[in-house]
Amino acid sequence: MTLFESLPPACFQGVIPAAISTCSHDGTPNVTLLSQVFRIDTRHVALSCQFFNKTKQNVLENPFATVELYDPLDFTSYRLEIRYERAETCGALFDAMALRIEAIASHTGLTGVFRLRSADIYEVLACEKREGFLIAPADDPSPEPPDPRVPRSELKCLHLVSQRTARAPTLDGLFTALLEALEEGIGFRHSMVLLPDETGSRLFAVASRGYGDEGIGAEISVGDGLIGMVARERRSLRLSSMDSELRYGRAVRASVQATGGRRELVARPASGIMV
Amino acid sequence: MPVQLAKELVELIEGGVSMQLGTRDKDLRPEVLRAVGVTVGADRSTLTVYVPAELAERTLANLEDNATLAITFSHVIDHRTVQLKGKLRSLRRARRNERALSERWLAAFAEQLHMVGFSRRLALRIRIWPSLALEIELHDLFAQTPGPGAGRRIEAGA
Repeated sequence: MTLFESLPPACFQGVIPAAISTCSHDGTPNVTLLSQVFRIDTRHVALSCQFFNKTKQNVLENPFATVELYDPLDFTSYRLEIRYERAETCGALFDAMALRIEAIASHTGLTGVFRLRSADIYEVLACEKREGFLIAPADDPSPEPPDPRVPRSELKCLHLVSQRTARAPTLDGLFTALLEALEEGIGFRHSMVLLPDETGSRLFAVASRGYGDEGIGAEISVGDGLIGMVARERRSLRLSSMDSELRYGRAVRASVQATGGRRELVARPASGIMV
Repeated sequence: MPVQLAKELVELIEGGVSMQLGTRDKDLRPEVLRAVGVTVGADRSTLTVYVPAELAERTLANLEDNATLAITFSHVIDHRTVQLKGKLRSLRRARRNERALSERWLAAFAEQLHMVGFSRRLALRIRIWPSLALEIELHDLFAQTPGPGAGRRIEAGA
């Protein structure tokens, strides 16, 4: 297995922005941050292209780029040399990347403004750990927090969910047991179950955990915000760093407003997402 | 022709932001390196950027070849970002009394990371010393905050 194949999945979850350096045909370097790098197979990554920016212009002129990636759990840094291959504008990869972006766009009031133009595919030519980027951890008597990479047993959780829900005497009891088991088994402290109304156009929260009294009865239109987008597309969506994703969306929103774009941008209130 | 930074950009740049330096070799292969300290000159047309000596081999070779570089400054919390392009004027080992500049940058950067949910201890492990001081003359400024305005040239400001 190559180093690239063995990089921790957390490096590809966009928690700490990666950086990419490119160079135009006239020799001017360009460096910018990337919200997320997607590992798509053993020797390719995909980058999302929302705007035709200098990075994209450069790789069309000169396909080589260098990326610096970080493991958010210990800040280990990795350097990737990559080469632009192609842009995909449809297909499973494009759809998965587009859903994430459209859900953030919808949540921050940027539907139609902030969208995926292409999933840009790059071949990974080299991968190395940046030795010396970090100093050795100091002697510190306080314990490190548990490593969230330690996998919880999904089978055990499935068993727990199935056992609890099977015993539920009522529908209410079933939802409560389901959400309790999800917290106990895999640590989902915030969760809700939403069901569509008779028209299928709105979703209502029929059970909620971790949101206090405000959870039950919450409603959202299908296609609206993170939850509504997931329901409309009938696809699962994993956002590893909600806070980071939403701050990114708000930065785009501020940029749109500053550049005289749409003025009536309506951000959605923050809400939880069950994926 | 050197350009001058507006005062609010100086505040952003010296405010403990994330800094990435881009260079390229003679074959136009790009390189990226995280910088670990910065100070803007009194003329606001030059700045001194510090990079960790141990990681700078490729960057140094590139700068010896062509002296061309780009550097991006990005605020961790709100993603306000600018990119400066320019030329290397001089390169030297950072002096002992300049280490405090990188220590101040690291403390401020760790604080920004802490405000978005990371442990300060994580960032404080970034190696900042020994470092190299790159004195850079600014030629161009670009907005780089994510969005449709990214890439827009910023007019030099007083």
